[in-house]
Formats: sequence, C-alpha cells, structure tokens
Amino acid sequence: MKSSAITTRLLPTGFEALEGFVGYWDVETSHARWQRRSEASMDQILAFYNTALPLADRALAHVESFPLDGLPDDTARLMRLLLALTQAAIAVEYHGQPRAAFTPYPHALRIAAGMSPWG
Amino acid sequence: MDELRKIETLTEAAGLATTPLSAESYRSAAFYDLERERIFRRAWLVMGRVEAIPQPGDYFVKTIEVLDASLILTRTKDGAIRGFHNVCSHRQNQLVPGETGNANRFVCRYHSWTYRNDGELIAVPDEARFFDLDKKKCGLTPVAVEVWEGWIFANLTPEPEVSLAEFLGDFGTSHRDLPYPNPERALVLTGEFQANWKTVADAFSEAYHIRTIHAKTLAPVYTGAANPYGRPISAEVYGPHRSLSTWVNPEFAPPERALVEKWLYPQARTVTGTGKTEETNRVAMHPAVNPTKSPEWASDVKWLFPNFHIHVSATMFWTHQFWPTGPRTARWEGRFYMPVARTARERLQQEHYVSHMTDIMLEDVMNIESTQRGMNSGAKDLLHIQDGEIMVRHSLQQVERWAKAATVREALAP
Repeated sequence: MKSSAITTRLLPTGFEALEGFVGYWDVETSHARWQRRSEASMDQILAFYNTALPLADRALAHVESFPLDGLPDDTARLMRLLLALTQAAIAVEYHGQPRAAFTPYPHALRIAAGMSPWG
Repeated sequence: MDELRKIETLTEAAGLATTPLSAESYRSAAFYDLERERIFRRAWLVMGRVEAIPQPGDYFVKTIEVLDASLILTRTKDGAIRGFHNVCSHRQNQLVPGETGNANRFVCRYHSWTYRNDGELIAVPDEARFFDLDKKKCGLTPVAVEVWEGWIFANLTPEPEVSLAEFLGDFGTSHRDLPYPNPERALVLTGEFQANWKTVADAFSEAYHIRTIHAKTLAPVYTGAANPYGRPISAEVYGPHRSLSTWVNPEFAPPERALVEKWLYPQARTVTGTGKTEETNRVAMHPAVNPTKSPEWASDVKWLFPNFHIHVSATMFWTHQFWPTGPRTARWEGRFYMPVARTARERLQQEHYVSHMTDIMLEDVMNIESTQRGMNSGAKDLLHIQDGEIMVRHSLQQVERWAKAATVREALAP
C-alpha cells in the first residue's frame, strides 16, 4: 500500500484513539458483534475495552447530539463501536475470558433478528 | 426461605407422583410417531403474536417440521386472522417462499395460480384447457386458527376436537388480561440441536441448574445465601399446562467490575428486567403471576402444552418454542420482546442485554446435546427429578398421557 499524506478519519474528532479498533469491531449486526468477541483473544478484548471505556461517556454524548436515525457516517461508526463495547464488557466483567466457561464454539445459536439500528 | 421449608413439596402439592421417570420418550422413534399424531397434530400450537401482522395483507409463514407442514398466517381485509396450508391446489407446490410480507393475493411461482388472502382461488392461466375445473373447490386449504390474549394458535386437525378455550382450560381463564409489554418487536434467537425437543425444553424449565451452568452470569441473581439452590417460590399445574415462579436474590448487586453495566444503567437492575426495588405494575399485580405475591419474585415461566414457554417479569416478557424435527433433533426459537430504542443510550442498554442474554442462552444449551447422547446410549432407564424440576416432571407426564389417549377429551379429563 502506498503511503498517503492525507489520513482519512473514520471517527469524529476527539476519538482518534479508537481508530485502530474500527477494522475489527465495527460490524453491522448483533450476531457479527457476538462472533467478533467470541473469536478475539483476551488481549484484543482488553485493549479495546480499556481504550473505549474512558471515552464512552463522551462518545455517547456526541452520538446523542444527533437523532439516532440520522447519524453521520463517522458518528454511526462510533455508535457501532459503543455497541461492540457491550460485547467486550461481558468478557471482561463477567467471564474473565473471551467466552463463557464450558460453552462450545462454534455453536448452533444464531441471532436471527436484532434490535434496530444495527441489531 | 423458612416459608419454603414449612410447605410440603410443590410436586406433592400439585398432586404429582414423586417417582423417577422413564427416559424412553426422549430417544424412541416409535414414541416420536405417537407424539406427531397425538400431540402435535391434536394440540393447539402457538404460531406467534397478533402484532406481527397488524395490517390487512400482512402475513408470516410458519414451518412445522414434525407435521411436514408449512402454514400461512395472514390478516384479511375484515381484520380477521386466518390460517392456510401453504400449498397450491394445482400441483401442490409451496405457494409462498418467504417468511413474512404483505400481500392481498398469493401467486404460485410455478404456473401463476392466484389466490386472494382469504384463501379463494381467483385466477388460473389458460383455465379453458383444464377439465371441469371448479375454482370454488380449489381454494387454499384452511387451518383452524384462534386467538387468545393476542397469541395466535393453530390446530392441524382438520376439525379440532376441542376449541382453544377448552384446550387452555383454567390456564386460559386465570391468565386473562395479563399485559405483554412491547409486543411489536423481538430479538430472535434460533438454534438447531441434535437433541429431542423435550431435552431442549427441559433446559429452560427449572432454576436448579443455575448455580452450576450460570455460575458467573445468573447465579448471583437467582441464588443467594437465603436460597442457595434457587428453589422456586411456587408452581401450579392447569390440566396439560403449568407455571413456575422463580426467586430473585434481594441482596443482588452487579459486581464491582461491571463498569459498562454501571455506566449504562443508573440503578441496579438484572438481566431479565427485574428491578431491584419492588415494582408495582399490572404484570406483577396479576393474580396468576407470582400467585403467592412473594416480594422476592424474579419471573414466571408459563409452559403451554406442548412446546411453548411464556416468561414474564415485572418489566418484560420473552418466549421459547421447541419444535421437533426428528426423534433426536429439534429447533429452538427464543423471542425477547423489547421496545424500539428512542435514544442511543436505550439502544446501548438493549445491546448490553443482547450480548449478555445470548451468552446465557449459550450456557443453557451447552448440556443439551451431551444429555441427549447420554440418553441415546440406553445406559440408564430412569430420570431422577427433584421438586424444583416440577415442570420437567409434569411435561413428561402430560406428553405420555396425550400419547396414550385415544381422544383429546380423554387427554384433558381431570
């Protein structure tokens, strides 16, 4: 890949620290978010969680400055990262590991329909 | 829990036997044939909520593998909900390929035979070349459909022996006017298992497993110093149906390290939507919900025979349905009803719920297939069922009763 002088910003100003997590954690559905967390290492989950949590309050305030059904692209991306943070949270705050103890992976469960938007 | 120790067991109070049960119906192909004809073809089966098809023309398709059936449930112009076999009268192609939609007419994708959504056949291309075709006799084949409290039921017997009201009996009358908050939308989870449908259903029917399976997730909510095994508060049986009230730990607080949870929720709450503070609302006040009105109530499991659970807590409801797809295979569908998020915070709260609930469901199902393998081995004849597993016992007893009964009335007789 050629280097470029212009860096495309994926997230709103002030959330540069999260840019590196967009590639892995910004996915469209709850099921994909569940898969991402289930397939991540604990180091990966902790890096995201520890970076995102201190910014979460400010990020939510930024998202809530727009109507939920009319978020600009960069803000929508930020919102999807916050959605993914809830996935990282169960690994960090409850399981102490990426997946629940003794549960199989891959498994037979599927989120056939999530809640809007990005469910 | 002194109150619990004083009473006789829930099992005895409900008039049920206390003996071990046979595992045969969980693994026998011959018994599966009986279940097909005597249970799934004769019982009223839940198809869904009326809110799923609010407008005339709205429809959804329901697959019932055990009966090789595909049904169209639709709302006609007059507002009525009707059910039809999803089969064209011409060469019997399945008419509607999709799962949901809105259509005033259904057009077969094979030769364009066209039906109005009240079932009438209205157009046959090149009709003149058929031989004495009577279009009036070639409508869609209707299925008996009735609605109770917003739940759409169907019965696959062409002329059902009993009405839905008679089938529901005391359960139906005692659970009238129970509110179902936010019934329009649900998180839908599905799973297919190498396990008998009852093995799957049993996994969602008792709290005895919580301290083992859900040690880190639900155990702090549903067990505690006062009730270390999560014994139920109460249980009732209503003919073939049943209900169980589960206990909540009044000492529960989210763990210190649950920082995201604390950030999203201003006050302590639990994953099933039960407030820590005692909530007074129309659900909790309903006489058939938490009938002893225990202040330490978490939620009720209402099990409609044969294969449908309605779970209600003070703030939400969710359902499970268990469909046989073979003697030792089943399909599960969980629906967790939630409002449309108005704000980003509400949406994040929902996602937090989703991410936790899905792992809890995964914990629930982890033993299902290994339990089935254990039963398939034939090593053991009996299941030992404790008091808190009263719904497992009553379910199996009713399944065996219906499988033996020559008529539905005989199965329903006191």
